[in-house]
Amino acid sequence: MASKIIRRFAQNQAASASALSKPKKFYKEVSVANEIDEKTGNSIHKVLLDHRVLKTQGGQVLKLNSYPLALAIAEEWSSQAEFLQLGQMRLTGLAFTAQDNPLEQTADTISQKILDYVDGDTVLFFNTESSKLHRYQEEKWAPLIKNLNSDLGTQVRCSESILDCDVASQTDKDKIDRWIRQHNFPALVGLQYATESVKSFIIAYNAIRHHIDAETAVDAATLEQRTQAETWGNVEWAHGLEREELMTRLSAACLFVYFNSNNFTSKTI
Amino acid sequence: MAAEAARKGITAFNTIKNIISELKKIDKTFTPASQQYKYLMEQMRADQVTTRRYSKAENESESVAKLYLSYLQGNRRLNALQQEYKGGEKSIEESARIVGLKLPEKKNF
Repeated sequence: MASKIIRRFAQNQAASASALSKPKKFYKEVSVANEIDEKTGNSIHKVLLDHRVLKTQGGQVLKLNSYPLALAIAEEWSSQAEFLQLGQMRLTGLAFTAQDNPLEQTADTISQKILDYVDGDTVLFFNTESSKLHRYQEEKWAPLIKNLNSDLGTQVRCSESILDCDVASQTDKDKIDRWIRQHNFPALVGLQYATESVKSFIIAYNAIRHHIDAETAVDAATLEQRTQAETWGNVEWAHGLEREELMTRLSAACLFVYFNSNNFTSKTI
Repeated sequence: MAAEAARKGITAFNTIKNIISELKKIDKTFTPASQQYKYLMEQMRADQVTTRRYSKAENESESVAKLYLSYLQGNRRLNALQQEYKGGEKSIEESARIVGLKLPEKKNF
């Protein structure tokens, strides 16, 4: 995928064949242009690199419904240094994916994939072998499960055996499914990305519903690793990198869901 | 109630200030004339009203601002770490030196 982007945005770069070479920044000014969609009457936002319109990998002009999202995407492009770090432009990536839909996903397939995470959700399986870890899990994970249950009226429960396969009943899953399907397609793409990055629907849910901030969410997702690090030490080039990457992935996904689900944010108040 | 709303307003205010300072660090073209700057300022002014009237969750605007701040900071720290630990292949001479060996001298005929 990366090589496709490189081809598109850096046609003048002969070295684009290598995965290690990065395309050069080929523009100076980035701005957002606002238009009114003639068919629907809604405002549409496009990102301009100098005077060229930003296009997706699929070759379509990127069209965004949310003005703040367009601004944030423009900011990703304008904050690039000499070379473009396309892999780090998470909001751009999500917007491209939502518009091009390269995997031909539908609301059904995405909702099923997210639901699959509930059965094996990170925060539902407590470890009894280490009393310290167990204490942390009670402290950090139990409130997240409680939030989900009280918001959606479900009875999802945690388990101390990884062989347990009825942590969420069919009724619970139906309720969660209904909540997932309230979202429009771009928001679903964001929701799936958030769930997959922290390997937990429940953590993603809590972050998206503003119960916890990104920091707390990443802490919950890496609880076991952090507990181990308390004993054995932290390796910055591995754990630190992973943590920051998780942070950017999760926060970008939550923002993407938010801006695509709240259209009022695109109107001047 | 009013005090609570005012407190939240202040927290969101601080978060937006932090966002602006992050943006100044990473983007040289970021100035008060930028669209982003103007938008953030507008949000800052509108925040106390919107927080109370339109938000679904009571801490919504603050939470969104914090998410964006986390995103910017995460990216900046990620870049810094990658810069610090970036690999790069060592030359044969360097690799030899690490294990205490030396390459035979090159002779030019």
